[in-house]
Amino acid sequence: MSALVINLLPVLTPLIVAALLAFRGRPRAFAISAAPWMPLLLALPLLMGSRAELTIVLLDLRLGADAVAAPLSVLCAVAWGLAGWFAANRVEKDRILFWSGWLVSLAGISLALLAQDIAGFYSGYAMLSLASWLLIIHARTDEAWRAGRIYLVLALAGEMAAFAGLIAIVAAVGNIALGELATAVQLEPAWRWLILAGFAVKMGVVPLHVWLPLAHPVAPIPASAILSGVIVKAGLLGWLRLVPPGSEGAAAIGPILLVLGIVTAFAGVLIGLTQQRVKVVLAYSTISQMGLVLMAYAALLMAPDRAAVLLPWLGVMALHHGLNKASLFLACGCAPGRSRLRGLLVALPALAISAAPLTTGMLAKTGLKTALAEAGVAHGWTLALSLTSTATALLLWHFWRLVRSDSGYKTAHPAWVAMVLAGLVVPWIWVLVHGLDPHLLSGLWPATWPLALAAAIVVASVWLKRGLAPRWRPGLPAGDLVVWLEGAARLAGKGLTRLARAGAAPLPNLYPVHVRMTRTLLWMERKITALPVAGFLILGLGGLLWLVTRVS
Amino acid sequence: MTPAAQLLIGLVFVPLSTALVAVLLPPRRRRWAVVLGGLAWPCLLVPLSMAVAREQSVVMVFGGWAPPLGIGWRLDALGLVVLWVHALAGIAALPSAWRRFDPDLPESGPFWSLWMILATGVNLALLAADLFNLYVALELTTLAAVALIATDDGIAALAAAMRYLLLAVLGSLMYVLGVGLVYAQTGSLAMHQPGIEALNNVALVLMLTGLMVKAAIFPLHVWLPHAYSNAPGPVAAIMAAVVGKAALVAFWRIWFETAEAPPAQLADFLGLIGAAALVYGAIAAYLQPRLKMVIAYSSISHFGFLLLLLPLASQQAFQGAGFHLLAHGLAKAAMFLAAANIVVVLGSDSIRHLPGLDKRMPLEAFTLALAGVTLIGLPPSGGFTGKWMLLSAAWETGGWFWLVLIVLSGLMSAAYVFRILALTCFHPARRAVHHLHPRPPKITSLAALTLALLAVVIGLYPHPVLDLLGAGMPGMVR
Amino acid sequence: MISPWTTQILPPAVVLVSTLAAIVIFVAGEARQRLRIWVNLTAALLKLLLVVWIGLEVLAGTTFMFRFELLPGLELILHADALSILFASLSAVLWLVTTVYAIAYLEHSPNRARFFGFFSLCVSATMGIAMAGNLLTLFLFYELLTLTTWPLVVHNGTPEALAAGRSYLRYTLTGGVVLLTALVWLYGLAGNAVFTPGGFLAPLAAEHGGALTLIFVMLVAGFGVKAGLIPLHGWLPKAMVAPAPVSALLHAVAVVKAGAFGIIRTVEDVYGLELVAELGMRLPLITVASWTIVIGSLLALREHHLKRRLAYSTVSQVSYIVLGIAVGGLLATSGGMVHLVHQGLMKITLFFCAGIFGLLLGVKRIDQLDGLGRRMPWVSGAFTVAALGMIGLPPLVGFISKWYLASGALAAGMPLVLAVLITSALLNAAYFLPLVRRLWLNPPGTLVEAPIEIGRLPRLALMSSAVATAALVVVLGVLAAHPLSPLNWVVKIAQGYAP
Repeated sequence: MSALVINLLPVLTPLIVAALLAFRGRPRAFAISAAPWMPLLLALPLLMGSRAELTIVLLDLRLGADAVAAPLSVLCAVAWGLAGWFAANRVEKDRILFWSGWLVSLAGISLALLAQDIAGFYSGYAMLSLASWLLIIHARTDEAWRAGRIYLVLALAGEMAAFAGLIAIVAAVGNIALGELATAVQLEPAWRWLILAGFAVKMGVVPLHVWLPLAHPVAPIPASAILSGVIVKAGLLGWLRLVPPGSEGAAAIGPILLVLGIVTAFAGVLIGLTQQRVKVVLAYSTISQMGLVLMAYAALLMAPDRAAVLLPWLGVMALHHGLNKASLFLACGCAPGRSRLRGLLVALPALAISAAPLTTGMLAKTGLKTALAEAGVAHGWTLALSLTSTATALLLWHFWRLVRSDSGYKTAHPAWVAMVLAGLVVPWIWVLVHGLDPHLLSGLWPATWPLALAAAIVVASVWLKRGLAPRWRPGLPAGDLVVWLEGAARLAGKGLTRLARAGAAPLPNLYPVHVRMTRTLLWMERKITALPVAGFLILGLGGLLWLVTRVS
Repeated sequence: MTPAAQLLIGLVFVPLSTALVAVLLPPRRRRWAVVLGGLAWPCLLVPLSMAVAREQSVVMVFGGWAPPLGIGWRLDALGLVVLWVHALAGIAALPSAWRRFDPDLPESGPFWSLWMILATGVNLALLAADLFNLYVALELTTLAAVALIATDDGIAALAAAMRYLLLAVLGSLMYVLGVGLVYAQTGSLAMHQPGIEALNNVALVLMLTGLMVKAAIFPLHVWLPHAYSNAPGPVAAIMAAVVGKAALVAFWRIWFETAEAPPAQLADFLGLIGAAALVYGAIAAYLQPRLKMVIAYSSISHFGFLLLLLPLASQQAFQGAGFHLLAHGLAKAAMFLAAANIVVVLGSDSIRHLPGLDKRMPLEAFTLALAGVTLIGLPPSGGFTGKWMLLSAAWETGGWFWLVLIVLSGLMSAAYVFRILALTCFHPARRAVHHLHPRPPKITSLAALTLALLAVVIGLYPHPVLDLLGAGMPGMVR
Repeated sequence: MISPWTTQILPPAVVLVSTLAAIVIFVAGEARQRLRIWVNLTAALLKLLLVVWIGLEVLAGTTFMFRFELLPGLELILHADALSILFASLSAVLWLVTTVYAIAYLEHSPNRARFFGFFSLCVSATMGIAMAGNLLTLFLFYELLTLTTWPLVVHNGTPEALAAGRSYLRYTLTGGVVLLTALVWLYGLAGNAVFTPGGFLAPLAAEHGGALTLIFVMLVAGFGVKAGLIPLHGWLPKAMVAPAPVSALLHAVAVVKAGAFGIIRTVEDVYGLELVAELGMRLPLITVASWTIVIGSLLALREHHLKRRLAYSTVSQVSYIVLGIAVGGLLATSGGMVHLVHQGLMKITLFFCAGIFGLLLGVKRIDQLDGLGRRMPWVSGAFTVAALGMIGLPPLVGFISKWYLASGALAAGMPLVLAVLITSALLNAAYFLPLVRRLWLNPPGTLVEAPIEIGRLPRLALMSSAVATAALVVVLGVLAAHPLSPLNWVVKIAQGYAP
């Protein structure tokens, strides 16, 4: 019973609090004050580690925290909680809309984290997808609506792709526990690709990343922080859950994902450098970083027997990026250019994300390199990884130049400071708790030279009095590919409408009592009613009948 | 002569003597006599029904001459069914007639006797076992009917009656010519003459054509719409229930019993005429501007439907057609009685006046709806049962064309029935205020409603009738 | 233990309860409002109790069978099997709710006696369809349904209503005629046969394959008219002129479902899916259903009139049922059948809400929905829940149906069917989410008509009906695995058909 309560609390409480928002007065006030603390409930199942089975709920719902969900649960509890604190003070417009989106998203991700069966996981994931739309459209400007629309289309399409894949699993073995998935089912590769593509939307893997640069700038700052810090990682969770390392045939797709990862990592930076809006730049940075996470996942697929080691490393990467990226987003709302101290608070997470020596970023890179080594991937990849650090550093320098002049809120929010500290500390604690070898000394030089290279480039660009971005700016709008996609969608919409019109042409009128027919009939009736005609008819019909009898 | 056979005399003589008594009575008492007579003869049907159920037919021979030579009466299942329709429609029409033909009105004088003469003629026509007897009965019926139509004081009724008279006489002439030929050829007038070779085709065609006029089969129907729609309400109800049907029954009898082996192509041709009547009547009914015209044309359509028995010609088809005869007769009488009340209240039966009627005359509206259900043949109603039997027969004989036609007939009936119902109950002009006359006593409405209900209810328990009809007609199954 | 006499009398009793109510209502007349309300509610409750009773007995293994020989060799059979109970309980529950709703909805409108009389008759006919034990009985009540719903469709008496009624009759009576032809043919071939799981026609297949195929097409077309299979759906959007409770009942329970139920019976109990497949009719059936699903959604997308959009949505959603049945197998059959209930709950909620918007605020078009969430949070909430359910969002009932249908399609090796379902879900999102957005997120527009003030009690009745069905949408979705949920009931039925 207690296991049940522990596992249900993080899911149900946010929903109940969200429901309270509907009631004016005290319940609503209570709900708004209680909402920021909800993510902490995720700590309960994490710490207790118990499992529960609700045989009558959904399709036999099973709940519990496990190793796959643990890092994301920690991330969610910390980052979502701190962002909530930030939001409690900073979000003033349309608070009901904001908090309902916030709480339902939280319930969704909690369910996705805790669910141990396919239907339960999918339910949480779908809830998360839809509710985070509310966070994106919060401002309800034209721009926000557009971002929301594009997000929704991609998210729903992704969800349906994933649904198709997981239904293929269900059709074969039923709604089984996620833990048994790796061994239980042999899947056609096409279904696996559908699952991967579906969750890749949330991750922002190129070319499915287009919603991120549109959504981040329009969402409220704390919402951007959790979108970029936590929610994108729900995609990773989907991958780990439904295409777990060790499932048959998964190793073969590792190299493809590896390539996709590195492409995403560089494409994110390159496009980001052309952008001029702070949060758009950060969004592209997220895309780039997710490329790295994708590579780690690919390595995990290729070396499934080393999952016990690699999974915690993947957790380090998720925690590191989630917390630090959330800090950077929160920084956008705290006028970081106003004092040295604030500058430092921006620099710390930025350096971490650029994988500076001794930062959590170095830990993450170490983890990734370990993973690639375990997967037996050639050495060239390591160089590419180092270069991503250089690229990221350049991108974040670009970010700093933009954010320095940003004047939003004049005051810094304590949640920001806390988030920065969490970003510094939590991944280290994770490494210590899991007894991972951080390779501190051997990692120093590989962590240092890319940054030095980046610094050199920055200095050179300053000296040449030119911006980091090339003078020739490919006129890339935020969301790059999406512009063409929108055009294509419009065309497709027209085509579909036409198809519908053709496909449902109504049946012709079955009873055409035409005016002419009416007239003819009435005329005829008048004619044959006349006595002479009637008499003739009688005789005529008699004759006709007789004639018929003569026909053999 | 069996005791049951003696009852047959009652069927003819009770109405006949009532007519005579009514003539002799002073005008104020006449309707009392007719009420007594009109209620008395149906009582005879109860023992007769049992007798027919037992022995399949009740035969009475005059003067000890057995058929085929003798002149006799014969009651079989088909005749019994139509007699029941006649009886029920007559009883139901009593209240309406009571009110309509008030002794203070000049036309009420002849009405009561004429009605009973009509009843005599119809009963006689249903009992007749020889061709000449049938001729006399039909003539009697026609003349009485013509006179009854003319009891309405309108010029239109007079014209309609005249037209009916002239056409009916022409029909009778053809029929009697045919009878003459038969007599010349065979020396017998008995309807059922086993052992006689194929009937002379000319005689057959003459008789059939004559009867088609009387049964108002398209395109010889032209007297019917005007006659029915201009006749006084109760007269129309009785005529619609039985007059046409008596002729149709005679038509069937001559086809199946007298003509031992009628040409097959003629059966199909008559079926086609029936089909044409069915379609034509339905479309015409849909287009009519007057309620009673709609009902009248619906009759033409349904007579066409009943003609389909000829090409189908099986025992099942006969059961179906007989049952349809019953259901249709009851429904039609109900509709005309309801229409009569509507005319009383609105002063007209133009369909433009119908909107809003369901509020003022809910019972009439309900009657129209219920009877309409039977006409369409929606389950469960008498109309459906008849239709189903005919359909099964069509399926068994492989008559696909007839099958489709029967099925479509329901659809076509639906068109005009629902047109009336939509106008009556749901038309937006419903709040229009008409100049209203006081409504007739409720019993008239209830009588109509009872008939309509009966038409539906027999569909739920059709076994007794179907069992009666189960024996089929002599010469039916070839 | 239940006496044999009771097992015979209960099925017709369930049908006749509301017939009696109708008679009382008709006879009592327009003025006796209190009596009418009491009769309505008592009959609805009584019917629900009877259905529950029969349901429990069926669960315990009792057979209910009422036979009445209509014609020689032609029986009227009312029985109760699990599938009957599924449809009957849906009708009984939703009838109760709709009655409450309708009483409040028609508080001040004329001709209420007529309305409620036919309303009750209509439910009688639906019950008859549910309990029908052979095709003839099903057909009989199917035609009765046409007859009793027509007055409801034209109830308003406006020219549009009359036109819609004409269109309705044209379609349904033609469908009835096609059915009748097929029925005569079938009875000629197979005689008077009771619904048998797995069908009873298999022995005839070798000899009369062609005829059986044609009959199947005719039966599906006949039932498909009411089920709104494209291109036989033309009457449905027009019938939207009827009062909201009628639309709700038409779409959720009575007419549309009767068609779908007829197809279920035809496929499962007359032919058997195996025979259908053998005759080569399974794929065409799947194709028609898929086509209807996709095209119906596209048409809904085009529609800017709220109730008409919902109508097209019905066209699309009801074909899920047909699709599930045609795909076959335990999963898909369950998915299809359970959608009978699930779609009913969701659609009735949507129509309830649309009706409330229309009645109280004069809102008819989609662009008038702007900002209504703040004005009517409960109703808008119910609408939102049902709309999200239609999209198939977990944990609502639509998700459960979709889950079973989709996995069933793949289990049967038909990935294209899955593609259809997914396309439909996306299209559903495309036409429902904008409504939700308008309700909650758009700034309030100006109302076209002044809000109508109605009494506190009727208002409460209207809203609580909508909220109650919306709550069922959530509860039956969340507790789908509960032993007494429709899902489990349906799985039991499907095991009988596709072991």
